[in-house]
Amino acid sequence: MSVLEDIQQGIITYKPPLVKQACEQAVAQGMGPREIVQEGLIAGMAVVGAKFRRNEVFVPEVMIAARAMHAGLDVVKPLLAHSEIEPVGTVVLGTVKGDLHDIGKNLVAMMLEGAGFRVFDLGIDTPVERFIQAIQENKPQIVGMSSLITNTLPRVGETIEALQQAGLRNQVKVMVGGAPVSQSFADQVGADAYAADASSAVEKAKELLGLA
Amino acid sequence: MKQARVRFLPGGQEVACPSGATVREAAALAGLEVEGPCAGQGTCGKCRVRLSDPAGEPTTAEREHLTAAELAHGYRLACQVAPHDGLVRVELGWRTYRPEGKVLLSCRSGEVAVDSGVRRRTVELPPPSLADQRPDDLRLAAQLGGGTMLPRELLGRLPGLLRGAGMRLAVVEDGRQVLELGPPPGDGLWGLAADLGTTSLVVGLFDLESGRSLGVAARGNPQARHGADVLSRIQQAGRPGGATELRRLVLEAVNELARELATAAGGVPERIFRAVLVGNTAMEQLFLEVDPTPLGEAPYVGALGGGFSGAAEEVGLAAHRRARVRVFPTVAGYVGGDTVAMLLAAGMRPGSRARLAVDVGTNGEMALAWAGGILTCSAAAGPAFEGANLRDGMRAEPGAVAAVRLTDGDLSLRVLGDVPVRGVCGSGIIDLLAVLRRAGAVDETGRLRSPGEVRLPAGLARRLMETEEGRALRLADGSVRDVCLTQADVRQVQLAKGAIQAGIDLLLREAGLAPSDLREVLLAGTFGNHLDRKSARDLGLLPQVPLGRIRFVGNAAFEGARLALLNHRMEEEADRLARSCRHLELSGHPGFEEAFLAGMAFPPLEAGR
Repeated sequence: MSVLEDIQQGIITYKPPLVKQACEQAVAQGMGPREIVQEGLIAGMAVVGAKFRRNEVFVPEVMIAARAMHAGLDVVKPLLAHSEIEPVGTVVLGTVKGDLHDIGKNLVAMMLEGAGFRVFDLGIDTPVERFIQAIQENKPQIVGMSSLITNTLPRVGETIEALQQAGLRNQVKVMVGGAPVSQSFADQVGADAYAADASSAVEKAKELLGLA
Repeated sequence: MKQARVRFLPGGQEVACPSGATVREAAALAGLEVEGPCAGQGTCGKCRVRLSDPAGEPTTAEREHLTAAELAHGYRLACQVAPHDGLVRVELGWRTYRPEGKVLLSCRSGEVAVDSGVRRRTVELPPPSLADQRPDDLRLAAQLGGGTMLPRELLGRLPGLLRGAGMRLAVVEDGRQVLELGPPPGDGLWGLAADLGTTSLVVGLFDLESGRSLGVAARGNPQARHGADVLSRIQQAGRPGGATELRRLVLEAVNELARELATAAGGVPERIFRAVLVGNTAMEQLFLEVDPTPLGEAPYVGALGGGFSGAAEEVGLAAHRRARVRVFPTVAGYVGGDTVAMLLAAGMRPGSRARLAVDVGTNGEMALAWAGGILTCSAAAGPAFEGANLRDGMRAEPGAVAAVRLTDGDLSLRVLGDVPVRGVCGSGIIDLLAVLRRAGAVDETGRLRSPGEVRLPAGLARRLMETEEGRALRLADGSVRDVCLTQADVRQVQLAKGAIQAGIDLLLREAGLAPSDLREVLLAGTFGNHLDRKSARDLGLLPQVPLGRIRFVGNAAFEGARLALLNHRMEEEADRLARSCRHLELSGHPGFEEAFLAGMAFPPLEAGR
């Protein structure tokens, strides 16, 4: 088995130490960071993502797989600084104001990173101003908003409205998600895309950027 | 466009459907409740009905929740589809039709020393004379004892009463407060205990002198038309007129039950001289029309830490106007007076015997009592155990699979009522998953295994199938639609179970205890009625303790209300309990994510045996 396959296998079988070890080996062999990330880490996460979409694996496994991927990224990171790996896109992500739900949003962040996006995670209970500030600073192509309870759903529309007011709405695509969110809700608040789960969030993000 | 008429089957009710109105709205006009946990927002997909003449294009919501085959057979969502003209027949079926059931329950309850503080006595006053010119109030006070408080209205009637009744008066007192004065009335002092549940209301009438139950009645909470869960009610309360309407709905329903119980007991509600009501924080606030909006968003702060005490007249309760109405104190935004009542009924107090009490619902409430005190927490389990987000999930109603065993290599299903299988309720889904776990058909991560990868009993293997949406297990055949457990359903149960398990886990960790330290695990609430202890424990929903330590305590919230009604020291104990509980907030708790992720897995098969 090649070292890239080892990296993939480490992610697919949820073994962070194996991924770390295989990445170190790949670096020692002189493999470029781009190849390790693309053909090893991202390819491994793609397999896990596809299984997640088919419900074959669930949140805990995806979380461990993502940790395994991060274990590998930590090895490669020092080399990345010297090479030019362009992220496929930049995403600013947060759970809306008044909502403290973290896990689903974290999962989306991890899956996006696993697919090669650069992610700025604003965390939970995110005020509108934080979204605006993060967009101005990081110039993302996509803003993701999560709301897990019906009571904070209005915050999604309000945040989109505030982006409009701030003159930022045309600069970004807006994706929404969370348990009470639906396609019809997304249409209603004028979001560009709705993703039902972390895995389809990746697909939708790629679609929005014309990559899929 | 002509106005449509809608005839609902199987009941045959017929109504004119206003132009543009949905089937759900038409059903409301016909006095029918169409099930819909999301209150008609099109997000839950539970209000599936079949139309003889489906009008118009399916909405996005309908396409999300119905298959092409179902749409072709006329299945639509009642909250989305609007009949356009002519007579449209709408089959509601069992799954969607929920008559406003009124159930008379027998009261299962423990012994309590009856001392409600409400008493009546007949006093005989010496007639006034030139030699004894004491004023009427002092004349009465001398008989009643010091410190008695007489309301203005009774004071106003006193001179007439004394002279009309020949100086013999019946007095009803609550502590030092005189509630009623008059000619000796009919016999019996009554009290009302109520559990204001998000789903159902339970009301009981009791004799305050003997403690005897005069009847207990329950019905669905009519607020459900504004959403099945507490959060949608909170949202509704924030709309113009919403809070007033929600209060009216619950108050009228409780009053109706009170009047029915009083009539059945041969009297009028005016004989009710004390009432104790418990509910979760939001339900209590809605009952009193105290704005619950802050409960809907972080930091989830409620307004009834001390509960409420006031006259029935002020509250609007069908009882004697001066009867004292007590609404239980709450611990936190999502640990309400019903949990305090559960603690009271279960006799939870700090002590060396560590005990855990769990009420599994859409919101799970947990309390741990041990030598270090009482800790509480709440975890949002979602509606999986009520069936709302499962493909064929339903409440424990006719047609629901309520228990599952493995017999001769195949599933044997116990179905509620004498009707074909229509879905699975909470206890059924727990049983089913436990059976599948033991048979090896579901692994620790919750994945349904294929017949190829593990040797399964033949009957079980035949039920497994691959569908477009992934693997599934067929429970019963249907003409258009089989009743199935899907892989996605298992995931929903894992989320619900993970939340409860994380809550229990973090309580134990906070107290520095292990599951084996628990001397008793109490399971409260309606979910416990059909639940199999072993199945619940084997799936990890309940901690890994010997089965003998797991006990169902039924509707402990109602029982707690009854205890506080019949004994005023119990009411004081409830206040003490509420104040002594330390609440562990799980939102943003640093250990929650790990505990939640760990809680989603199923325990290894050897565990706890």
